[in-house]
Amino acid sequence: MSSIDPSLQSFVRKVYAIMIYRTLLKWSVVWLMVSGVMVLIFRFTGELPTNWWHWLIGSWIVLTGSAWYRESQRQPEPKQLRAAFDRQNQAGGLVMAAAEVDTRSWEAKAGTLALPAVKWNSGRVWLGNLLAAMFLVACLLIPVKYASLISDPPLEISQQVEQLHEQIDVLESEYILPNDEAEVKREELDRVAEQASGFNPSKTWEALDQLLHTNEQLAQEEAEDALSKLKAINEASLLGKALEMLPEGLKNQKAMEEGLKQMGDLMQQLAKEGALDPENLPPELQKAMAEAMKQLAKGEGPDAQQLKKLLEALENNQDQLKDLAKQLAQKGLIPPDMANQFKEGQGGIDPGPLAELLKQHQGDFQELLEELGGELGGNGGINRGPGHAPLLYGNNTSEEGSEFKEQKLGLSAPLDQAKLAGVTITAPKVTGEEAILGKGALNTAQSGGGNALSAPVLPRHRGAVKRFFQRPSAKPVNKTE
Amino acid sequence: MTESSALLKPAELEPATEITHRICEQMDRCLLGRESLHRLVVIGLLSRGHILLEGLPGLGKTALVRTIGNILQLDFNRVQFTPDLMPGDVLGTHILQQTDSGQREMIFEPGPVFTNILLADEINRASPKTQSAMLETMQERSVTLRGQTRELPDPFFVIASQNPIEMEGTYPLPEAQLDRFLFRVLFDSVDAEVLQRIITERRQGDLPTPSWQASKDDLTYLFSVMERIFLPKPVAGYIARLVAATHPDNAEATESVKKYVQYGTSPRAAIAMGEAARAHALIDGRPTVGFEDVAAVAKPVMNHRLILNYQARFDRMDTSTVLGDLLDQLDETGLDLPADVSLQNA
Repeated sequence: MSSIDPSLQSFVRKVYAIMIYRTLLKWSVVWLMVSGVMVLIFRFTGELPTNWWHWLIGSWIVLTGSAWYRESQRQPEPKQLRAAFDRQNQAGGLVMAAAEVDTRSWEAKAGTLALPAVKWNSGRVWLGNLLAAMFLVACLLIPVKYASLISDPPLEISQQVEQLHEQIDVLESEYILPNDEAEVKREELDRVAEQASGFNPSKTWEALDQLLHTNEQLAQEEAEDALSKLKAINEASLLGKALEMLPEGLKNQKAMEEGLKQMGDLMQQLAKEGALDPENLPPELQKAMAEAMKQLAKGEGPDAQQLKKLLEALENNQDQLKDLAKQLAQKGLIPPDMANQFKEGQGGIDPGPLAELLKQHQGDFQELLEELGGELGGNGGINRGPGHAPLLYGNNTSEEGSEFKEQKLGLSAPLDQAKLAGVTITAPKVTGEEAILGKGALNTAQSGGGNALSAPVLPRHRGAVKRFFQRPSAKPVNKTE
Repeated sequence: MTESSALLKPAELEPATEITHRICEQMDRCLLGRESLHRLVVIGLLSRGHILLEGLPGLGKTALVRTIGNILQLDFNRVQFTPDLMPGDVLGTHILQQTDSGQREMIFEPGPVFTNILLADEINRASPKTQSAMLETMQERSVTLRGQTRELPDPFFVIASQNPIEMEGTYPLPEAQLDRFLFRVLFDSVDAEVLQRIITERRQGDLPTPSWQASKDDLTYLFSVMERIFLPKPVAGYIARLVAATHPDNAEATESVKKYVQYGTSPRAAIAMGEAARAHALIDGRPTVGFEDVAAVAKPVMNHRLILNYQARFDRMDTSTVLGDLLDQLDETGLDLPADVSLQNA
């Protein structure tokens, strides 16, 4: 063994170590950056694993192994390192020749060979490591609240989703919406809630609007149907109560029988329309109603006891329809004005005057109807056929002394203070009894109020308007007088 | 390990080195201010190569050849090349002569080439025909006339000179002949201090007599030692890579080589460089050739073998600059360390 070999081996190890060290430090810049990004992802999407230190150390060990493997793969050839050792020591080829021939006779003259220094200009790599380490530390310490700056901004729709869920529950419980369709709607609603994103809120709002619209449409169709049933029930109930209030003597008269028969016709009509829901009545009422309906089917009017039971059944049905309207209104499925029509009950008509009328006509129901028909005019409605009574028009109502209703114009918010919540392509929903429309000439018009044209009268025109309403009567003036 | 593969012992090498030092010392004493040139000439002689001196007239080319002849006790001839010089004037010719018996026969009259050291002065003034006559003598060290080959004396060296000015009426040496010269050495003017010494010490331009002369045995010993100077494989690899890198299409060619070189150097250049590096190591007293030996002889060996293109002429680029770039940029060891990693002496 040559005396050069130990020094040469040390040199080879030194070069090898420097190369591994260099590769490791270069890769660690990337490793630190990637670790920082991973930490950010974990922290902003959930929670940093409790054993994250283990992962960090483990990946560092893998990195070191990879650097070692890579450098071992591209390690310089021994003869090249020997040549470099020779050159750096200015050995004049003696070290190189030692690999091929016996050089021992010259090694003493060559003296001690020094170990060359392997210099690596590592300033930039260390700077990169420092910056990457600072990035990692920043990723560990940055408050999670700033995640919203870089992550998908949430869209707060939980209230709307909850409201829609409640609406679907009500529609399902009231048998307006079949169970399977209700389930499909719930799944659709959950999907919309899951995909809600602040980056594109219009898509979510449109989907929610569509669901709300279909719910309201179903509910309003049902409410209109229920309202017509309620009106028919009210009529029958009004008549029944009036008959019940008649004196005992009148009840046995033939005209009374006619009235009861008329009542029976109304009940049969209700039954045909499905307004009477015997399934929801108490058992004794169901039984009484069934008997009464059988009797009515024979063309006979109900007796006093049956009348009482029928009135009780009608009242029960009224309550059910009102409950339905109340629930739909509470969930915002029907507009408040429609809900108010259910609250009016019998239309505010007291059965007492009707009973008094019947009493005055001594139970002559036909005569009463003729008289009432002449005064009340047509009933309208397509299911009643053309009214046999003429439409009556009286004189115009005198508008003398009437004043214009004063309305305070609403304040409009400045546009620059407006906040864009989203963009939807569906028509805007107008809610409330007195929703104010947008600006312009109709800004004081009330929705559904019927006074869409409400032009203010200027002071200089008041005289002309006053003179118009102070016109003389329609009687022709005799010029000769 | 066999005897032949063993390195020279210090006791074997040191006498040879001493002889070379003495030769250089005597040359330095006779010719002032040409130390590095003298070493190159000695390297050329040890390598059995021919040397082309390029310089202005009056710089001491003839004096150099005469001095080396005196020191080595070798025959010396000088031929002034002119356009009308014929090959026979150099090589020799057959002359019809009458013998003592009264018969006539062609007798060969050797030319000036039959010597140990031939100074071919202003070789580029001779016609190509005469120049080509030198090809065989320089490469084969023999002369063939009328079908008969005659060996030249051993050792045989040609030291040619050419004048870089007055190019009118000259015949530039073809590449094939240039390639046969081991070195092309630029013969620069000496500085004022040396000139002052010459004026003072060399009245009438007389050369001093050498105080020491090498014997023929000394030369034989030098040549035998030269045979045993060891060329390590990494150094041989470096020479090969260096020569290959002079070709523009080589992967290790530098930008200047790619831009300015039309033809790179020949394998003969690699052989010459190896021999010259051995001689340099011998003069340095080392039994092995190192990278520094190659670096010392690379430029003189390759600068006349590199053929530059027209772009180089436009950019006033010379072979010395191109070779300087190549020597600077090509790593001797082939160790492909990253740019930010370097080896430094401890």
